[in-house]
Amino acid sequence: MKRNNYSIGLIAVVLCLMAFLVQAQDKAEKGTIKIDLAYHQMNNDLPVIKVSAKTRKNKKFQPVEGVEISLFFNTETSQGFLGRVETSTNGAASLSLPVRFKAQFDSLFSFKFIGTLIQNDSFQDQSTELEITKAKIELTLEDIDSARTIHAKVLAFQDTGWVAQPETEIKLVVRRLMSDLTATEEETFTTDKNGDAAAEFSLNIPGDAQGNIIIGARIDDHEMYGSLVSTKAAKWGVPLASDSFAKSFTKRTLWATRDKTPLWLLIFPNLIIVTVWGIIFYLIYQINRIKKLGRTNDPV
Amino acid sequence: MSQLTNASKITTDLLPQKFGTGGRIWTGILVVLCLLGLYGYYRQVTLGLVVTNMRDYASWGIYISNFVFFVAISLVGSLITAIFRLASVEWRTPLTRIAEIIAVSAILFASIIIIVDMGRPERFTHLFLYGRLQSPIMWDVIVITTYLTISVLFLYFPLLHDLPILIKNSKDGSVRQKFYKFIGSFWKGTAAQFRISENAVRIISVMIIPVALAIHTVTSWLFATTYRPGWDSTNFGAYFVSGAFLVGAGGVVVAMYVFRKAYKLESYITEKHFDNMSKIVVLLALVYLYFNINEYLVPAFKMKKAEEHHLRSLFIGDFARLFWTAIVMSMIVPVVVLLFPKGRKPFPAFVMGLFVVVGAWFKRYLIVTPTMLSPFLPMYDVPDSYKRYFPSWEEWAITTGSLAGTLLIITIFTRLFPIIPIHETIEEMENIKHEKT
Amino acid sequence: MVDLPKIVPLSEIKRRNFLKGAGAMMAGIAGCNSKDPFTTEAKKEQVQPSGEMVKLLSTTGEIIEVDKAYLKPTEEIPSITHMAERMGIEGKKFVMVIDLSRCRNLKKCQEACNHAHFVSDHQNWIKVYPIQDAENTSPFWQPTTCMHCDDPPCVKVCPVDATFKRVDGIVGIDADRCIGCRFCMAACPYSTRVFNWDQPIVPPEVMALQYSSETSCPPKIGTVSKCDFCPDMARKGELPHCVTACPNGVFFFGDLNEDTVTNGSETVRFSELIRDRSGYRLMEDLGTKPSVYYLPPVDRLFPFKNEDKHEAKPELHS
Repeated sequence: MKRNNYSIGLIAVVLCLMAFLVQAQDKAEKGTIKIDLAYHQMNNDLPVIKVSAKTRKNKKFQPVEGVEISLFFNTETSQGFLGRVETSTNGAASLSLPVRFKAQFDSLFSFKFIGTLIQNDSFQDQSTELEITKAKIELTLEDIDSARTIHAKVLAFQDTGWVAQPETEIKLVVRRLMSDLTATEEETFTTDKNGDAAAEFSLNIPGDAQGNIIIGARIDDHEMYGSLVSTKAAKWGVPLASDSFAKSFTKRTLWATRDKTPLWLLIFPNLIIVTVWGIIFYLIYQINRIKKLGRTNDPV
Repeated sequence: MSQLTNASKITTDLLPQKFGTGGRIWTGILVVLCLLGLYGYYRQVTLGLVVTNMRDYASWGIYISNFVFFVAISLVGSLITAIFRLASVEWRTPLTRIAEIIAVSAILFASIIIIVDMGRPERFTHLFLYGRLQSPIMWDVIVITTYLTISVLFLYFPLLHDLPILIKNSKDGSVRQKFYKFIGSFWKGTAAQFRISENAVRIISVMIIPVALAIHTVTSWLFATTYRPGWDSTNFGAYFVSGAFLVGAGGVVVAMYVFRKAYKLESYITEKHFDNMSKIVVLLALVYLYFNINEYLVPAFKMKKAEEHHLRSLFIGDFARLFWTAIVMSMIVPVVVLLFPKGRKPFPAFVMGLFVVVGAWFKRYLIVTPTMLSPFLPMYDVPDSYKRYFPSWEEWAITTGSLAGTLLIITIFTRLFPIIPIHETIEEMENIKHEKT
Repeated sequence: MVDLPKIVPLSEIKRRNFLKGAGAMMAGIAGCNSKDPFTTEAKKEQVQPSGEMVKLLSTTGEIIEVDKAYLKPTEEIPSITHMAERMGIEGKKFVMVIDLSRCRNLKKCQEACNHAHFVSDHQNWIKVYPIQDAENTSPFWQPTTCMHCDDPPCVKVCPVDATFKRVDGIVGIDADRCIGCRFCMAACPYSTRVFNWDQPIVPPEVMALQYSSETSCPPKIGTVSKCDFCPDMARKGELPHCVTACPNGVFFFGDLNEDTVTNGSETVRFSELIRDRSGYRLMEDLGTKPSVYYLPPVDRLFPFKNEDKHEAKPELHS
């Protein structure tokens, strides 16, 4: 009897060990993934959540492609479900807050974004949270006697309404095609006790044909507010003199398409070709004449 | 009485004959080479240009140098037939048709080899649908087409004169006779017809010379319109044209000898002909040598940085052996040998003609490849094979096939048509007789 | 950035001639009652209508009116027509500045470019040369892309208009037009063009794509290809792959008309950069007018080390 108990116990232990080993194997095969969430909001539109998935390989972080991350708003429930995104080759993905959450978003002072990865074959389950306090930047442009100033005010949403935030780092920029150019002498400003930052705009920078440029104020990767950008268009740029290259593009050049062949190339070679081929056709016509003569003549 | 006999003797001598054993072996070899070339091309079309050894630096190889060679040798038509005619060179008669068929055949294969070089030959029609007149390639397409047409006409008009003789002397009802009749049964030899024909030939003689000059100048511009060392020369047009005349003359000497031997034409292609042609070869070789000295000595004097690598590779580097052999073989040796009367006898002239032609082929290779292997920026970040170029077997097969094809067309031509114009020869003989009496 | 106008408005469609004649339009308006997918989805998600209506063209050729609130903003960009690809982006003139004082021959630019464009290793569009102009001058690494010249010798010689200059300065290649004559390769003094001698190694789903000269994909056998300044990225407001891939910020890219270039982290005024750092162009005396400027290797970040113990590049198979 005792022997039976003993052997059953042994089998049970072995089974448990095996189960543990299998589980450990499972765990050992799956890598760990690091999910980073970033909050981006522009001009008080619906914010965009940017996801970045990385994994540690050979002591370096490598982006992870093709994993599906589920995003949630405040609660990890079907009500808070924002959507599912798949990371690109750079391990990046993004999702804008769906319209149906707008009312909820407008009413809250602060909120949480949750990103989860579950049931992935190569990686262990992972969950990340991002807490954001709602804030905005009020951007005003002042042009008095051609002295141009940019004013930015940082405000956070609290129960009393929008409250000015001091000690916040802010940058004042001109928005360009692929990046932002610093618009002011100093790189960054810190808002004063009224949440204000102001600087003189004295750049001589090209705008579009009418001289329009877009001025922006941005907060980058703030621990509470995320990344915010506020923009305003202004006629503060130098009107773009009609692009000298675009002008040459419409001219007749050797590198243009065939409809814009240089005139000398169009006229003289064609004249020569027409002349020479004219003679050739004349010669062929002469062959015809010889033919005719041969038919009408009596055989010699 | 003696007139008739002479005329009929001329006819018998010059009528196209059946191939003997030699002729059949010759044709057989050419056909085999053509088939090998076709097989090489089949591999190229199915596997891509990777079967060649051209790579990103030497992106033009022996297909292009072969193309230049064909265009060069095709100028012989205008030289012999047109220039000699306009200069009233009396002894040109036996040589005119030889020159013209070489010209037509060569220019035909120039077009073929250029299509072979294309990465996407099935898109050949793009040249006509989307062609840009600004491109030197378009200019080349236009002049080559024009020259081919004119050369065919130049071959055709004098050929008409011989057709009655050919029709009369071929078996009634045979395919051959039908063929002759199809080309020109309407030619009766009346005075009116002769007037038109003579006028046409006169017009072509004048017109073909600028077209011939244009064809090789434009081909030279395929190189001269780039910045590369060795090609960036203002001299290229004249340099190429002079080389073309030389190789054409050499080619005619070779053809003269071969036909003379094969068809026993000693009384028509006389030693005087070899003597005269050899003198012309000497003159043309000296002119080409003059242009070569300008092309190589002057940049070598300056040794500009971009040119230094190129010139070194030609003079003392990888291409030195080939370069000096080609110069000596195609220009210096022929000049020396042909300056002597003994050297201008048929056989030595023939050998010198061969030297000129073979040397010219390698000279064209030396114009194309060394420059491509001397780029402005170093050859880097590429596999080792990119830094060299020696043609693959497919390239050799296709190139040899194209040369064999040219010779095959000429061979078939001589089987069908008299290689020396019968009518003109008879006429000439009658004129001489008439003058004597 | 969410941007509702990305859903093509009616006026633009009219210009594109989707509708042939007013008759079709009449028929379209008549069918306004059909439920469109936007409304259906919005009802599912219980979105409140804003009252502001937007006119759209449905896939069946009808004009429908949808509440603006029902339209979801999308990051997707409508595909560009062939003619638009050949014309380029109006108002822009792309320029690149390469800072030679920072290059260390890491070849990350090459990796990223080759990966993004399915370029094989023997065909690198970006070549990083070790340059030493003279015996006593300093050696340095020089990454070389296509110069996108304003007087391009390659475009001049192309017989079929397969390579073309765009209004935004980019020189593009249409691999569906190219006949493979390789004249452009002979004409380019910068040796920047490569040829697809062999069948390119490309995944089948990419091979099946319609060729676009903005992505230069899929590459085709028997045609020429080269650096294209990534116009597909520029349309999205993103930098070319080489610029973002370089860890040392060697490549700056931008719009000459905006006088601004950026390497992803630093944004500077182009005119100031060239003036202060004495920028120059390669082979200026040839008159090609390149769009790529170089900043001389002064105040280097790294010393020059050529450890390239003749690492043999993989050969082509045939």
